[in-house]
Amino acid sequence: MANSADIVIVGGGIAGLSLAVELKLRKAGHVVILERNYIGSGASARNVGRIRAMQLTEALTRYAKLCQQKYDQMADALGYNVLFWRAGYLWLLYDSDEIDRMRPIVDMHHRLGVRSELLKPEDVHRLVPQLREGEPVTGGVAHNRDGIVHHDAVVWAYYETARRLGVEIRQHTEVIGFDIQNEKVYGVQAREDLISTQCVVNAAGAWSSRIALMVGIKIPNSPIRREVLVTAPVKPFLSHAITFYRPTEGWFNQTLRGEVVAGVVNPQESSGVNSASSFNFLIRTASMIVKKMPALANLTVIRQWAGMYDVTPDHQPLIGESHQVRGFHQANGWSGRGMLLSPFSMQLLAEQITTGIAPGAMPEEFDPNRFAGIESLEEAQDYYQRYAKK
Amino acid sequence: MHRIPDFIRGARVHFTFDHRTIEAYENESLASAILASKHNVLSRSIRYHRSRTVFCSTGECGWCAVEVNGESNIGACLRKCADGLTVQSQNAWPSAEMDIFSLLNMVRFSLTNTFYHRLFLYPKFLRQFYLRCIRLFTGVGRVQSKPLPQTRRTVANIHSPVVVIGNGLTGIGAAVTVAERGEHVILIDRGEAISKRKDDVGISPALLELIDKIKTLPQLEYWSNSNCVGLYENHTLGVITPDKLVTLHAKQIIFAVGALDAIPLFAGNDLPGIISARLAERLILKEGIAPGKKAVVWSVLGQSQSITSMLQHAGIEIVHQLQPEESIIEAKGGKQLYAVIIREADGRSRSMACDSLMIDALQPRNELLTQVGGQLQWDESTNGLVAMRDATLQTSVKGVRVVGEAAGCFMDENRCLVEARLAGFSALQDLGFDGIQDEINRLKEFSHTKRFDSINFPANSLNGVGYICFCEDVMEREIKLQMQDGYQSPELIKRRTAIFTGPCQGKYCRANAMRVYGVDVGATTARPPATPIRMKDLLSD
Repeated sequence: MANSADIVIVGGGIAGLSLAVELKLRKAGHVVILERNYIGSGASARNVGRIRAMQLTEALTRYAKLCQQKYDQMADALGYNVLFWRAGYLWLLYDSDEIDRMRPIVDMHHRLGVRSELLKPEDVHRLVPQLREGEPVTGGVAHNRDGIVHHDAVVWAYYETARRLGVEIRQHTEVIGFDIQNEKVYGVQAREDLISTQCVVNAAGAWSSRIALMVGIKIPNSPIRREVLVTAPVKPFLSHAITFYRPTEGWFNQTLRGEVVAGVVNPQESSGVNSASSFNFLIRTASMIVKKMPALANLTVIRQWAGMYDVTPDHQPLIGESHQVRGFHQANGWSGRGMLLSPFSMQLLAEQITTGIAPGAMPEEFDPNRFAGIESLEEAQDYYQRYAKK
Repeated sequence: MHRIPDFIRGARVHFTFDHRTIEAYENESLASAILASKHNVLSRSIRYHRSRTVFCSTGECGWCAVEVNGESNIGACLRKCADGLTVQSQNAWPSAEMDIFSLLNMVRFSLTNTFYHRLFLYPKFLRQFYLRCIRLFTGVGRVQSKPLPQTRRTVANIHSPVVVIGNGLTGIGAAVTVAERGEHVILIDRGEAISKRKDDVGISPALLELIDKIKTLPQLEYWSNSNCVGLYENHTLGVITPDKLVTLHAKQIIFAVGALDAIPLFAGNDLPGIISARLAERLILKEGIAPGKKAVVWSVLGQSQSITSMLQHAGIEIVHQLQPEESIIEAKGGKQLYAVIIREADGRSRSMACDSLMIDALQPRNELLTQVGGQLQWDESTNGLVAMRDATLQTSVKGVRVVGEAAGCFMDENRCLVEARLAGFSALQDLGFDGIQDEINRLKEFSHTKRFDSINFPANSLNGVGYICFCEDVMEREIKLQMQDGYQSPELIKRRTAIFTGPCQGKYCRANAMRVYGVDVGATTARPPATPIRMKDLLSD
């Protein structure tokens, strides 16, 4: 194990692994990944792998479309079947004001070439007949090209490719500090080893604000817990990935493996690293999704778990080099969209690191320095909650 | 399986299984009635469509899951027969007996758990079609779309100084110890009302005495038919009672949840005809069903005497009883076991014809404790995973104690009683009760008695083809293949092979998997719920 590297990536999740692969493809020299647990142990292993192009804002939809294309090409690029399944995505609407709100969003999608459809209740029922017995819907928005991916397979695909390309991956190695001189990175302290390097990437997901603090940068990311329940696998009965926002945000879908995964968000969820499950979540989720689709009542819950969103105040990630410490790059703050955004974003960041020029496709909104100097930041307002508010 | 003559049975009932009429008796479970009616197979396993019948007697191994009146994944070993039921096998077509997909079993060695990641990519326009095809092969059991009658429960928050889970000898013993000193205690169990336990065949006098005491103790609150779903943060338990969804806040918690039947690792360890000794006992004594004609008995715990006499009483011929230094190399059969190959003490192997193999092996239940990160350790004496405990039986989670069979204290009534009293008194002392130190000191001495010399569970199987995980059909060799591929961490092995992720959530496979990948590597965290729960039981009003 060499104790110097051209680039050190903190965090061996989907962001860190895909960045390492993209860097190696651009001949970036010796790349080291430091992972405090096992690869993918944070949010990369604890998410439900929804890959959707239809977003609520224009900027995000434009970018998400490119991110989805990245998934389309992933199997060819990596020689690995990540099971990207275009199952279809369906937003269920339960109030008439939701339809009014969705109409311009669907128009925006069409402008950008995302073929979403605003559906009448009978169309929703034709698409997903099991909803007939449930709470009456006022409509829905569907996009058949959106879907889900086997998130673990994406991690493995990048992991195996990274190893093949010669990336040094140190699992169970925690970063405890940095060597900073004159506002420039000179090394990373990984337990007893000091790895000298002039380029560090903070891709630590829910732990990224802690890592940033080690170099003296305050970023406003805060980890927020999201819980999920999983049922015993059953034969295919539900195709679409379903999301609803009323009365509170919730979602469910059947995976390729046959399990139904579901969750209803707790609007009062407090921030902090916490991956414990709760009994109230089981009751809240079961009660609400059974109301929407009574056929789910018969499924058996076999497991519940919690994952972490690394949420920024404006729900946009931080990607790029920090102004405060040269050589220190951010690749975090995914705000619950890491699976969708990171493979493509890391391709752009790799270009930026290797050429020194920010690619045109990188949205300005992802500027990692946009919060610098702002002392009091508004409480992280949930993107969906803002939408759901009447 | 066949019915034992001269057994007093319930009323005659009729139901259908895979469209064929089955004649049965009311006291029988669906599984025994079907298997006693010349059906060999109840269901098919998830990946390789291997024949499944029954193994355990608790409804948790998942081998006997069937569809009853359109409701899928019902354990046929627990559901009683009733007139007019429509029972269907799962994951089989056209029937469990003649399942066309069992061809997959023949190519199973090329279907390791991640094979599809290198396949189904070209031609590119067929990718989504391939996924749709893969999807058809996943999952077990259908979902009916007609709505079910729904019962809604009241959500409640209840506080109690002491909560005991499990109504066995140890659980009742601990609860009685606490209540006798005047402290309020809630005793929770999934089973029926306590009075019914008195009718159990062969119930011990010590337990009878404790059950009688319960009635005299007003501080002891007994919740029957209540399922403890999980131990969550801040000493709260999630409990589903017949009419409530309770978040139970307890200062002191005692788990006396008992042990599960274990399946040792050997080639063919999932064949029909291999059943746990505890299930054999239940079938013979309660249902009047003999689980076979010629049996081999393997008591890993070394208690084969009582098992063999019970089997002989039921008219079953004992072909062989394994000695402590002997082990099973391979079980042979397809839809039915026909022989086992035994490694004798001198290393030679011997084949023996038989139609059933009774396995007497136990493993402690740890799932509730590990849900909040309670530490486990590998116990040499029982050759399994047990809770790490201090001298007062407290685990690494403060205020949580594990006692009795759940802590690896198998087949030892006296020791269980000592542990029950010690846990009860220690819990009281932690609550601030005085004057019980002498009692605790005295009990501490007793609780150090020696357990088993060594229980011999195999750590590998012939050619690595023994099954580790029965929910997801994972063989020992698949775990080793993943480790060779660089996936060493248990969490990664779990995700790569799907062990620990099926309906049993690793209860049956955790110890065997650890014996394969190394007992010092550690286990993965368990997640609630402790047992599968129907979503309809979680509905609040």
